[in-house]
Amino acid sequence: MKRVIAIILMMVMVLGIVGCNNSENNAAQGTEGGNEAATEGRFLRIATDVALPAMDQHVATDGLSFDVITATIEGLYMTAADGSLYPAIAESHEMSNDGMTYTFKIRKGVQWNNGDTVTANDFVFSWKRLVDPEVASDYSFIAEVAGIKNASTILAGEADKSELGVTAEDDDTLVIELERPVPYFLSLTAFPTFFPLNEKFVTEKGADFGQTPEDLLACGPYKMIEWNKGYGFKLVKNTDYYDAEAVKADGLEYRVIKDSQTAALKFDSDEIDVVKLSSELVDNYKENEAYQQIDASYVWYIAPNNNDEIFSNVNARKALQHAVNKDNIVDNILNDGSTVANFIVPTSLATGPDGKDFRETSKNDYSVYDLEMAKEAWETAKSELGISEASIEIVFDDADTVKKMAEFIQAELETNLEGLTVSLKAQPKKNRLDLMRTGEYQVGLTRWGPDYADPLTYLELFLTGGANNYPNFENETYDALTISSSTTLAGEPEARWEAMKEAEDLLLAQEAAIAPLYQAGYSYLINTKVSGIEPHAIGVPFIYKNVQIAE
Amino acid sequence: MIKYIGRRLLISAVTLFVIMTILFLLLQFLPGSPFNDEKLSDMQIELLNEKYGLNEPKSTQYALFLKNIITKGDFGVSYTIEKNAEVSTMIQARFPISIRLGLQALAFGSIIGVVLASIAALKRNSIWDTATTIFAVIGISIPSYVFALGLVYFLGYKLTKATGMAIFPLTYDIYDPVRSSILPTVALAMFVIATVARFMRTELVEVLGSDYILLAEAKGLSASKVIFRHSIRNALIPVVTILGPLTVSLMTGSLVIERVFGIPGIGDLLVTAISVNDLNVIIAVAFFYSLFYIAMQLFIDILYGIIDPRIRVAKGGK
Repeated sequence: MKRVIAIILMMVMVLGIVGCNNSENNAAQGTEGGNEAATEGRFLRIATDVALPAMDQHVATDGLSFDVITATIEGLYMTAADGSLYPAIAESHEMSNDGMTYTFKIRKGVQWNNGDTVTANDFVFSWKRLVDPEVASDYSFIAEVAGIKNASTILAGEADKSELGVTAEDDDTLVIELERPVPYFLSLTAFPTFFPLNEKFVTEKGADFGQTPEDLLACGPYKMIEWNKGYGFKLVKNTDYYDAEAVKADGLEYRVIKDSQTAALKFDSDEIDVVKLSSELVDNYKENEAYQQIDASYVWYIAPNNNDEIFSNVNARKALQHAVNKDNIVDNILNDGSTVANFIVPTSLATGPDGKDFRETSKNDYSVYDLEMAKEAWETAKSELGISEASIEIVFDDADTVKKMAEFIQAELETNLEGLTVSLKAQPKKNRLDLMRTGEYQVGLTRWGPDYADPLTYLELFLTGGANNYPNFENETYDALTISSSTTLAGEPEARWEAMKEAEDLLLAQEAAIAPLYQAGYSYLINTKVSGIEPHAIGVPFIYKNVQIAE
Repeated sequence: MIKYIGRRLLISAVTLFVIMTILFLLLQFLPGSPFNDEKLSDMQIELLNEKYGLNEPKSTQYALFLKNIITKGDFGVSYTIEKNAEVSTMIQARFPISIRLGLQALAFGSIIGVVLASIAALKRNSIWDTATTIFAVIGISIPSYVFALGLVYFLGYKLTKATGMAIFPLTYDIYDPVRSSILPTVALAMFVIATVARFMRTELVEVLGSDYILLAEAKGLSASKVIFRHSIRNALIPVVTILGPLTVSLMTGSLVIERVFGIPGIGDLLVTAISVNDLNVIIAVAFFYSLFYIAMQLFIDILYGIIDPRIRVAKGGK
């Protein structure tokens, strides 16, 4: 009798395993919707180290989500491989003389893949949703950055979202009113938060919008047909796309692989075409012909609190700038494609009226590693402050790489600057941000990423009283230069470019407000047969519209 | 027996309730937050807190928390991993694969372990015995990450390159779940095999030395009958005891295995949730782990009753 029960239990276990197996098979196919036919053809196979967080452009905040959303929806204008803008959903635009009104003509014949036409109202609905407090979009601030009329008051809770300065004069005409001229406004329309949304569809779906492929609509080069959460997802070429002829790839296939070794092995076995390398693996693959270094645009810097006793002294700050060997950080601690930054406006961020990158025509050695300069500055600082020794505390995020960087900086400063002792304080990121925001810190390690393709996105950080002005930098001339670049000089590209260069020079050379460390970068392995992947340092990290895979 | 099970179920329910409360309290004190971006203004963070009900007094949050779980099985939504997705949906999608992998590893591991132990016990102090011991020590000592990666590299990558045929898929493949779960199962089962083999061998040796076995052999019973009809059942009880801790090791082992093989399971979900402070997901997964463990304990107790009549009688059964 007992034996029978034991055998039955064992059979139940086995059946359970088999049963789960079957239900899982069905589950995998259930979310597909016509998978069999669609997986014919050569897909670009991409490995990602995180699961896809969101397909709703007003909820997403990370690079991967933006990549995939941009593969399925387009904006009024889009960014080309060289960083220039081209009309996409918009056919053309006109800007008023005072630069405060934009009129966009919507391209005819652009469809959502449910047959509905893309109209100007899709933009009105989407932009109002961006600032809707019920949606609480993390990126709602970008409406303010874009200078859209009433965005600030709506975000402050003092006006209703219906008062946003966007109107659809008719199905093909979109009118935007700004509160001030914004030189980089057009480039912002290429950012996913400003992409259109089909009002009827989104309202119908309610809270389900963006959760599965059936809850999404596409009007871009690809559409999502399968999403196995935590495992991977598939996009297939969208035959309804208005520029479908330009799309050569059959689709994109993403696989979530969190372990970097496994991902690299999959690349070696030709199961994956695109994979990001972790710093441990970079050395193994540096000589590989598939290796590519790609610039990102986060800039990490040391932020001394300019209100602090010691760091209110400009020479103390200058000492910080020149005392740390940043090559060591980039080559040994990071070793992931990041590059040394002796400036604050990153490379590949913005092109000037002269057609050249901001960094190409500026000085690039503001915080160059120079022990002589550092020691001299430090000695001067000490005598000016009337001290012979000092002890400071550096606050930073409690993440592995940041910790190693902090420890290295501690060692460099203590070795190179006589009489200085450095203590370290690791904090969870949120706490670190709070401390720096309220000024309750002495020295902090922090970073900034751009919101739009213009040097102002970094320079505006350090305006007097700015919310993210952690170093508490205060300088009237700097404020004047920076503010004029977005107001009075808005219509004079050459003059404002010069003003911004002057501002950076003042910030870093004269006042040494911060000590830049490095510009983030990534190391990728990309199958040599693949061409046409367009990385961007600002905005959407990767655009896949023009991908081609050779036989 | 029924009374016994009934009592155990009640105790399990209370245990779960206590676990949930402790979890809730602990998470309130967790430093950091899911809303971490430097671009988020204070105003924006307030809005987010409002939206997710994080501004209510703790007691209200707690009451709502319990109510939602007990009446609707609703653990809230994810803040970071899958923004605004229902956590219960996320778990429903992921836990079948983890459970299946765990049970496969347990079944596979136990059977191999018992077999190895039997060989070792029957031929004690011989080459087989030593070999089993060595195998067991290695199995317990090698970190599962190293072993898993080794399997991927040698059996997945190198073997495929050498033979030109993909015998073992490198990572978990959702369209080929059976074949691609072989390597993960083996990796996960290593610890089980080693522990079961070691434990069982000791028990078996003791059992084989007892009087009734001597009588059976004297009666002329064949070796296999000796093992199967008498020895194993008696040696199984202590092994069933360690099934509990074994289950725990499977749950924690799965964290690593799932990462290496790219399996969208619940272990991987937990690790990710903790590192990004996705509070609702952490609570939900911890709840499921607790539930699973408690269920296993209950199962083990029932198993005791079946295997050993003495226990059944002691607990007031027939």
